[in-house]
Amino acid sequence: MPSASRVQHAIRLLALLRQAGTPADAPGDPDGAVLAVRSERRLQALDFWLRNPDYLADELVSEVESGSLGGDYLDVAAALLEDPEPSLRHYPMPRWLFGAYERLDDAFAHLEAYGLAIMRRTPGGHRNQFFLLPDGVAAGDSLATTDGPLSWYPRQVRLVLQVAGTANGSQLKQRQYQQASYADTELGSHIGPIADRVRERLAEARSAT
Amino acid sequence: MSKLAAAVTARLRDAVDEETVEAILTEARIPTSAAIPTPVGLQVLRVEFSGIKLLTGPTGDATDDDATAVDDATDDDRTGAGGSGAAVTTEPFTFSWTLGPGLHVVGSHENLRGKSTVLEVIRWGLRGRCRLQADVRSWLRHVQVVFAVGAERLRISFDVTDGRPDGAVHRESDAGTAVELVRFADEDAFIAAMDAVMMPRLHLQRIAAWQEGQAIEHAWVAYAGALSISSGGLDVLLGDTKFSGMPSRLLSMFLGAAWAAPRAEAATAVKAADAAVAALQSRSDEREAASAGRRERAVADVQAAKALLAELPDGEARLAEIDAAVRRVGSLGAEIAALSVQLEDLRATEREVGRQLQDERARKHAQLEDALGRRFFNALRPTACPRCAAPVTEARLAQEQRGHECSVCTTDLDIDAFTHEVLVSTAAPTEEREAALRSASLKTSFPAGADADVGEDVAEDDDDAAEAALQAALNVAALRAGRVAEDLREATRERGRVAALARSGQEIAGLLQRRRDAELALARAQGARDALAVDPTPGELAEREALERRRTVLAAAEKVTADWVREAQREALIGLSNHITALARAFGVAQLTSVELAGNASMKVRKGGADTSYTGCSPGEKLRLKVATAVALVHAGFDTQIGRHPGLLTVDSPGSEEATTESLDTMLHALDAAAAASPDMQIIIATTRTDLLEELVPAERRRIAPPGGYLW
Repeated sequence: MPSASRVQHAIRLLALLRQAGTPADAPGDPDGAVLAVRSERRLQALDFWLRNPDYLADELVSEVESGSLGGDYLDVAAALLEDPEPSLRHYPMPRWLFGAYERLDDAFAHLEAYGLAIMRRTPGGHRNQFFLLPDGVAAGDSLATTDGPLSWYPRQVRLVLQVAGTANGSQLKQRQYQQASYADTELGSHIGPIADRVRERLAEARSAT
Repeated sequence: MSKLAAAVTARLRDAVDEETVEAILTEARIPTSAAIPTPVGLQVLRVEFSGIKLLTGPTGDATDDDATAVDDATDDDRTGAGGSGAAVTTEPFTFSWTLGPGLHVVGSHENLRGKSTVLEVIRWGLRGRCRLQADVRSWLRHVQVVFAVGAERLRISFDVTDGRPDGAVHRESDAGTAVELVRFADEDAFIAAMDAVMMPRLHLQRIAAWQEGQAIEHAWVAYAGALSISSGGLDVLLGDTKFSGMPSRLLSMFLGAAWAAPRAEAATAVKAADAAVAALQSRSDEREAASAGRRERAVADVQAAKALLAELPDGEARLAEIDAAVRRVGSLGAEIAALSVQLEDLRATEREVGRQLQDERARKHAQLEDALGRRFFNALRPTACPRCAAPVTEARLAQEQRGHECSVCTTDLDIDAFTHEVLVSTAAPTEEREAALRSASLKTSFPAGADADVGEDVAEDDDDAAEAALQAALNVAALRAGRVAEDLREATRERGRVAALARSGQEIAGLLQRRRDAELALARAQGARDALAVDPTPGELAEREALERRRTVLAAAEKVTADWVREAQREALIGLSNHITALARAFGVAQLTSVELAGNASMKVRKGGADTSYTGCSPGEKLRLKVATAVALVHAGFDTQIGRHPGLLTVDSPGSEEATTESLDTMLHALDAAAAASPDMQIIIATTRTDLLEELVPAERRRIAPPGGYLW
């Protein structure tokens, strides 16, 4: 199972920051920051769904079942499972003590080197915050309009955000924790694919509607 | 070996051996030797009878018949006035007479005086058969007749109750004692009794005759009938019946042809044998017809059984099928298991290869994305070092664009890569370098809807090859798995089919049973058909052969004995004919030239220059001829000591037929002379010529009714 390169990781982060970021207008935010993602956990959780389409599909089915999303999203979930694109981008994440976690330092440094984003610790020093600079916003926009496979990421981020809603990092982690294989994965080994199980749920959900 | 058997064998030209001939003759009870018969004398010694007359007068039912004691119509004068003319009267009567040899006469001047009764009573006692008229018979109460038979004295005595005789036959000895020989209580018993007594004593053989489909025996009754002559029985020259050729048989018997009786037996036996052959044939025909029907049915049964058997499918073949099916199920099961395992492996391989292919594609995609990402970022202008935030100066950028140093970290750039517009340091790890170089070889544009199919990637033949190889391997695995899956499906289908066939074994048991039953039925039908053989069995053939051989022998015996009889008789007959001629002429048959008596008792008569036969003569002539024949026979017997005529003769009213006084006298004289010529002869005559009798016959030999009276 291949792992994503640093460059790919950076692309993902760019896409995520561009769409998941909230306005960076709080006091103490760096000058010139446009958008901010104030929770690394949330960022990591979003990235988890971004790089695991089958878990995303699973969550889509759950959202449809709970009524948070309409029945149309079942088709979306099906597409996620069947289309080659998502399967090509299945990048399993190691499960660390606090959930799916992969260091984003290197990838983020890529963004920082080009002046696209900066990372700052909170004033208390416990958490990291991620800010998107104006060049980063522009790069994020151009990413969405570029030809080729890279444009998939911004699209997919939109879907991820629909699933995530406004839940905070912990809530997202909790949800992901509940996704069975996620829970079953041993510490340190990669979280396994759950495509088959999702297909079953999908079929059930389809017959129910 | 008997003379007859030898002669028969010779006649058959040895077609049958003598022993068989002898056996057949013996079995048919044909005497194979014949003793020359010598006559045994029979004479009436005494006759007695008594009874009570019951007379009715003319006022009652008086008719000629009733008013008289006349028994038969041959009496002198039917119109006789006789009778007392009174009303019913009873009159006991009695009669007794002792006789000896020679001529005896019963006479009365008138007719209807009881002459015939005397003769008839004698005949009754002699034969057992009664010819008396009913009224006289009813008058009688007791009868006794004593005969001398050879050296014996036989007394026949019986009571008469309503005309039925009831009595016994005794043999009287000289000492006066009597031995009862036989009893009888009715006429049939009486006849049988006399038959039993007389036949052996007179050495007479039974005459067998074939009458109305069965053999009957003429015995004593027939013989005795030949001993009396009356006007009523003139149709026949000898005896009183012409049936069964009796006259000729009697002639043979009386003439004493030694072989007459064997000839008669043989003739009867031949007829019996013919009948037996015919019966056998008709039985065989019946059986044939019956069995023809049965045979047809049996043949039909065989056909039906064959058809039934043909309809049934061959159970053995089905059994073999099912056997094979059961075995096939087993082998298919193993095949299916093997195929399943194989399929599992292939599917696993398929999945694995699929995964590998997917991984390969994903890897390539990652490479692509990485390359694209690099390009994306490389298009941006670095601003500061992410580590130390040192800004990227214009000078550093210029330096970088000249291909010498990284604008961020000032490490030397790879010149070669730089010429391909790739920014990578010489110090970068190989993978980074390769990844960076990859980004250079990509096309800048992509087809809309970017998908995993990367455009032409000339520098990445190896990767393509790997993917192609994996794809090919996947295709192969899928193909193989598909084939095995198809084989598995096929094997499973076939096993289902075959299992169903194997399960159908239950029906087979029933089918086999039905088939065995049908085979049994066929065998039985064939057996039954064969058993109804068309051909006669060897037993039947042998029976028929034996019967036909028997008939041949018997026919030959008849011919042989007939020849012998004829021969023996021929000479005798010549002499007899001459004697008859002389006697008849003497009895008054005018113009009689000659007679010719043949062996069959037919008589040619030559008189008045014309030839005629006995039956062609007038009654008067016939009477005389008949008497002459009887007398001649007696004489012939006793003269030659050959023949069996017992010597007794009764003649009833010889004068009743055209008798002139002279002729009647002549006959009487002649009879007297005849009787006198032999001591063994006794002739009893009933006549009206009483005048002559007194001269002719001594007193003890005559019983004459007193004028106007009755004999009894």
